Amino acid sequence: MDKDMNTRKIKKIGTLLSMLSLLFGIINLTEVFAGESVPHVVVFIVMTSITPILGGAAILRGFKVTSSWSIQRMHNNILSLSYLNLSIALTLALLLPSPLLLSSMHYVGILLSSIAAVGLGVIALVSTLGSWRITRLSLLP
Amino acid sequence: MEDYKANEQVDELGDFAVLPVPAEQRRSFLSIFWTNAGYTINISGMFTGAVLAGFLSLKQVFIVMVIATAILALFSSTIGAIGAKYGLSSTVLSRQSFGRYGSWLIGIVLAITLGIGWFSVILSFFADTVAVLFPNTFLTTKVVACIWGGLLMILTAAYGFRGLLALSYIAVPMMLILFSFGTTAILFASHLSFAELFLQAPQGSGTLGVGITMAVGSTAAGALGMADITRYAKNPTQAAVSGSLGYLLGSFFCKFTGAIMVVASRISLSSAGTSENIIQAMASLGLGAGALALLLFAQWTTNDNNLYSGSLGLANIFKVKKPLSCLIMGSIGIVIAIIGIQNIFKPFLVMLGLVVPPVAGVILSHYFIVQPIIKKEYALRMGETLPKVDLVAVFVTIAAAVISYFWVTAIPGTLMSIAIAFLLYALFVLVFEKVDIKYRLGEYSITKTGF
Repeated sequence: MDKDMNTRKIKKIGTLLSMLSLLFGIINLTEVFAGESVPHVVVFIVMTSITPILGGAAILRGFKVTSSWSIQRMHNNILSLSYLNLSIALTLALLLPSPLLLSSMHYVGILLSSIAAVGLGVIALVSTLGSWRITRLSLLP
Repeated sequence: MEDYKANEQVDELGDFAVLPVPAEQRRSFLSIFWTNAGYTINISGMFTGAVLAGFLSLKQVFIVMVIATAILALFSSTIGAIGAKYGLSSTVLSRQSFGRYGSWLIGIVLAITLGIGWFSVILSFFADTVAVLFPNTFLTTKVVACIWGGLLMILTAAYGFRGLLALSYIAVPMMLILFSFGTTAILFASHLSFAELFLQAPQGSGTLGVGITMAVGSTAAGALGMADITRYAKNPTQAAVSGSLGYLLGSFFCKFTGAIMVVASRISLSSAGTSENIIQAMASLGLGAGALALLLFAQWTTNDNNLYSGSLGLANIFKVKKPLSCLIMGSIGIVIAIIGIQNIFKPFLVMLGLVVPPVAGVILSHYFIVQPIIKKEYALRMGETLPKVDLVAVFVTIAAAVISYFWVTAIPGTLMSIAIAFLLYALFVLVFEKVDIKYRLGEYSITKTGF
């Protein structure tokens, strides 16, 4: 497999993963509003956060062959954003299922997961758009 | 930032261990901020806060922390700004003032103290706490916790700055939320309000000066490592501001939380969630997973930075790829922590650590006073020359370390040794230059690999 083909393949995987994370974000929202249990929502939140990281990493790897500074910077920003998301998602995953929150502050859990779901959905959208833009830029002569 | 043609040189050791970080590899404000905050958030910082709350009221602890953090931020951000200007780590920066072989002294000290010594002390503390909090589980026995905890710490350090950064992005916001949530939950469970805590009188008595001395002294030595992180900053201003804010957030937050915990545990009438240790208190409230995560990430983000600085020190002496040096030093640290002999080395580490603050004093003195006088630009590129040894720098560092060992006054020994080294180095160099005494021996030409 030549380098160009390899790069294209990695880009496709990256874009696919970013779109997947957007899908997860939408599922999060519907789950929260459908009144699903907090731990269940948390699993989706964590998954939502991991996919943009994988997507970003895959795209970044693909762009090592043809990357410019601006593209790398854009990717670094997307990755940083995804790391932050993962951080918040993991924190929620650690705290929300705790007996203390579930017994006395259940509404806080629902509120936090709603905020996280909306935030993650938006970030997934940004990372997807970023991936598309990067793909477009890379195809320019 | 000066324009370096980094592509003239080859980064053989990886992660620009002995080369200036090129402009295109520099990172954003937030990246430097998170990494610094990750370095300064640790559990031992909480214990310092707890000690302060033993003889000061919470209001006084707050004032002490504001002043101490401002002093630390000023000192560390200055070193950090110089590191960012040239894109060099602390050890490589010290080549300019100590000479090529003189800087070996700093490399050895950093590798032994941070890379092996303190790495094993922090790792052992982590494994001991995990074993006590979560007994009867294979993964949390001391030996096994030492191995997996140590390997995680090695992993991010070996991956280089990108590894530290990724971990900090994930860990720091999580730790801040967990710290805040844990403290609030503990106060909630013990039926205490912040107002009640602030009204409590301290048990012992002490002055603000003693508190500031303690708060500054406990972290001043680590400030030399600031350049290892800020060399990735885009410019000196960004390095100084993001570095200081990171310090402010990490150091301040940890110590103040520790102080709150100790006051809460003293006056609470409830037995639930009252302990001087936030980790134990959280675990007793059923927040075991959060407590474990807090302990793991707080120690991980600090210890991988220790190992990182140690490996940069070692790279200045031996031509070993950075991941390999991290693995070697980290493995020795793991073995020491498992055997449990790290406490035997502690006095030796503390004594060796006395050399670190004067090194910062010499670097600052060289940059602000000596360099403008001797008018020799920093040697960074291939073919440019450095002295082999600067005898004055080596002598002044050892002298300042000895003085600080015997120094017992209201001013922290670490700050004093920085000031002594700063003044003595400038004074000796000015006199030696005036009377033309040769103190910079030999000439060393920088190679293509920066070695």
